[in-house]
Amino acid sequence: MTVEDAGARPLAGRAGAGPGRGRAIALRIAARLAKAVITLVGVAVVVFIVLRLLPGNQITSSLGVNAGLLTKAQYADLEHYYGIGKPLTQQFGQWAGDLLHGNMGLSEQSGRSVASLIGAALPVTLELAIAAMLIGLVIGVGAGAVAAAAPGRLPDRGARLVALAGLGVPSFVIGSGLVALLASVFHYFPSSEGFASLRSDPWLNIQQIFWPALTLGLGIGAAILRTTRGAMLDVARRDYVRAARGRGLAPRLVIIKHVLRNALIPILTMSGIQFGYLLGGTVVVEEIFVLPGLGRLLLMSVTESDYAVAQGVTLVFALGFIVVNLLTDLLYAVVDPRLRS
Amino acid sequence: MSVTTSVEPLLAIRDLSVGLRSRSGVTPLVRGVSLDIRPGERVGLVGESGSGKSLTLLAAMGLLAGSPVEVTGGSVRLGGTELVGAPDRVLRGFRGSQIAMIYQDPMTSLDPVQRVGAQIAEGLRAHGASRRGAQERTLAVLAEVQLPDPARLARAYPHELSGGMRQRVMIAAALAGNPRLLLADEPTTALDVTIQRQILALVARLQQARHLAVLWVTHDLGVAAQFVQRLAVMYAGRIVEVGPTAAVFASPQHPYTAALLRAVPSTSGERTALGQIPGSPPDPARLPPGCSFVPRCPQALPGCSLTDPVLEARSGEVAAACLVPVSEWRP
Amino acid sequence: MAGLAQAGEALTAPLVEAARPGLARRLWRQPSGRAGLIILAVMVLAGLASLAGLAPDAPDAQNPSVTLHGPSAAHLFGTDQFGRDVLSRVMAGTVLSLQTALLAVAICAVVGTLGGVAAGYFGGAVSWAVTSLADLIFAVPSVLLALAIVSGLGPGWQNTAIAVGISYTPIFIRVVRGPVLTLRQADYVKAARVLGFSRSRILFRHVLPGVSGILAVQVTLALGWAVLIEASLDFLGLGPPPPAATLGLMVSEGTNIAGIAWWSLAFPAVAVVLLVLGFTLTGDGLRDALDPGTSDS
Repeated sequence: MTVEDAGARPLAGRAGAGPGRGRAIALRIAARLAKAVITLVGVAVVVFIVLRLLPGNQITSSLGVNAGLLTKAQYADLEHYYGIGKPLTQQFGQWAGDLLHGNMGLSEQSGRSVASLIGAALPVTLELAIAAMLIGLVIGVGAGAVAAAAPGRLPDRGARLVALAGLGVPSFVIGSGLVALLASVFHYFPSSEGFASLRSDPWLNIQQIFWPALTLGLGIGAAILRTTRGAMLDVARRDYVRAARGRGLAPRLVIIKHVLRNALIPILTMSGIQFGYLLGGTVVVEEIFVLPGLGRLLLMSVTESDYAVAQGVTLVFALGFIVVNLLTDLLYAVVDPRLRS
Repeated sequence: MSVTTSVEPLLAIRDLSVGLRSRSGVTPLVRGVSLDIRPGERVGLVGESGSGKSLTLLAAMGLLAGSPVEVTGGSVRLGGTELVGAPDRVLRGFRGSQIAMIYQDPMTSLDPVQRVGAQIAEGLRAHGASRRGAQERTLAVLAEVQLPDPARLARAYPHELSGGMRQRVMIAAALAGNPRLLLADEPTTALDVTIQRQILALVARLQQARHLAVLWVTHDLGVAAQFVQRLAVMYAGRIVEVGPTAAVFASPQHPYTAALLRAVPSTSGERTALGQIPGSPPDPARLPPGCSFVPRCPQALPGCSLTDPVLEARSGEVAAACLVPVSEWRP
Repeated sequence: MAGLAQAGEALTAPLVEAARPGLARRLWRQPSGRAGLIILAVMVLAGLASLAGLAPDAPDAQNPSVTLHGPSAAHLFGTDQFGRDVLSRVMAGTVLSLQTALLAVAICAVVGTLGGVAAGYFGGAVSWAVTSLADLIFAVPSVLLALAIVSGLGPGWQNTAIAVGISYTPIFIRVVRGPVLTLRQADYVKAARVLGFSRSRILFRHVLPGVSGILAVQVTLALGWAVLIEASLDFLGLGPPPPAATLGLMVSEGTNIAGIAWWSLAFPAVAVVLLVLGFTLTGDGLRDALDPGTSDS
């Protein structure tokens, strides 16, 4: 019996092992990066246009009512300064050029550079996002696995009820309720003092981050719980799980090695989606818990028409979203070997 | 009954019943099946889809736990041990080391995210093999099923292999633990015709070399004819005929078997029209009274709808469940 | 124009057909569907009652003599710091939320479905353009999009609806595109093309009906999401300004006085939750009713 008789073809993907395979992977990563850059540029353009199209401009926003008191000459001067009269493409080019040099402009309200404002706010939001994602994953995968292990029984029903609450109750309700509860019942105000960075006062910092992270994490956890439960139940019915049991494996081993492992793919997908919502959620949560993060910065800058800051923060958010998408794509390849060749 | 024999059977299925549990009750899918398999014997289980043949295998392995389909009665003894109702711990000890199963679709029966070698080795380790021992055994059995370059192949993922190779891997995984009995659930149905032959030949060779008992489920009589020594025919959850393959083929004692044989194209003899069995198998939830084959049976008599016939010995070692003796069959 | 009518008919016909007692009964039998429908019925009735002027008080009516009174016979949900009846305000807020959500979902469902069908059916450059646009909108955090639109166009429930609608459009595109891609390969669609049916006829008579089930589920879920985002925007002060009776604003104001008047926070919060849950549960129930394979009961 020869190889041909065995109906073999050269092992796909393995035949090109070595330099060929490395090149294929590099190409895919390059393609992803290119797409990411294009998306980022696209977002920048969209944001730029949207903010420019809105009524009101930098002059009215910085001077308010007094803008009406300017003489024509003064108005023209300011227009020139802000580059308002110039064609949009030129304005965009100027802004993009500045951006590439690391200059995101100046904030109208505070006079500080946008970059420094963002630099101060970024670590806060980063800490919040990571904490929220961790809480969400722990709750979601943990409770989801427990629920899938005994479908229909009490832990499952309980978990699904909690998930429903997490999905149906908006984060601003959870957050507001939490703040009201902590303040009026427990007289606990971790945010009353200024925000403490992780380095300066770790314990206070953790307290200040924990509650908003929990607020966001409940919503994330609810979605991941449902996904985990559904995915594990679905995978548990598959033929290969039955075949593994047929080889004599203990149930716990089967769940860990085969069920959970295969359920990771949809869990990863949902985690990526939830991160997208997370970024928007920081706006609400940072407002409620008074955290000096990017979300709060964004909210303030838009309501005060501080365009430079708004643009900068939006770009950072979009960048974060794109980076996470890239990471998720890469993780897919790690988790699912079928996506590697 | 001629299903029991003088040599102590390796697997003794007695009156096995399997049903689907739903809100409206239990729908019977396997009804009182009895079958013996002797050590080293090749037995075939033949029937249309939905006849309950795959479920019989799964019930024997105890793999129905956790699904809405469950064993509702009867016994399955392996060696001396009762498998129905046995605790999972006991069943685990048998699975892979005494009794193993191969499945119809090799693509879905292998975990797509794990290397095939690891999937074989994990079964061995579950039975106490050391890491190294399991590795060596894996490579050995991969070579036994004639896969090229076992070391490299063990590191492959299922999607990197062809259908035939995957099936060989599955056979290797089943035989790695040196079981005494192999349950085969239509392992060639999903394969190319040429590959089918190869796999069949491979299993035949391995069966001889290892003195393996095999219960081969198929809906293809041709495959059964080539490989099995004894043949059981299933219809609507019951065994309707059983006996040595040659005898059953030469002189079927049940109208269903006769109809199945007529449907097999023959390259020798006159060119007759390809026989078809009119109608389709009954809905298990709505079985006709008496013999379930009556609606499609060319030999049915009024009395057939009154009682459900039991398997009875006929000529030679053939048993059939039919009220109408062959001598009275209309052409 | 005839095309639109055809499209409308094609979209609704299978729904109407599926709305035979069969589907409704199956939906009712699902615990999630049943709960969702009951909750929605209650909320919609409350909203309609408010529209019909059946609320106990006008939402803006201030009664300085009864400020911050707890729930009582006269004021079932209590009064706020201006003496306004919380129950009436919650009912009015429900109306606002519902109408905003309906407008928002109308926008994203129509635009998203058209985009998804175009992308799925025509493939190639069209698909690339549509999905790139969708990814772009998706990459901009929905809150920012809403922030920009609302602060630019001014506060008002219609603008909130537009903002919410645009943000959700990419999801509709994505959800619709997949099945359309699959359907395109379906035998009966191929047969139709071979038989020379016009493209629009194939689209309306063969492809659209195939996705109507998924659309129904997605619309319901989108309504829940729209209520959630709309309430969040109101909460942040980006919706209709005070003294408007939006649920989000009530939660925001209620948080400040929660220590002394828990009812000003609790009842609007519960109303938001019920609205979101009602739509989400109904959407889940619809999904299970239309495809029993994925139900987990």
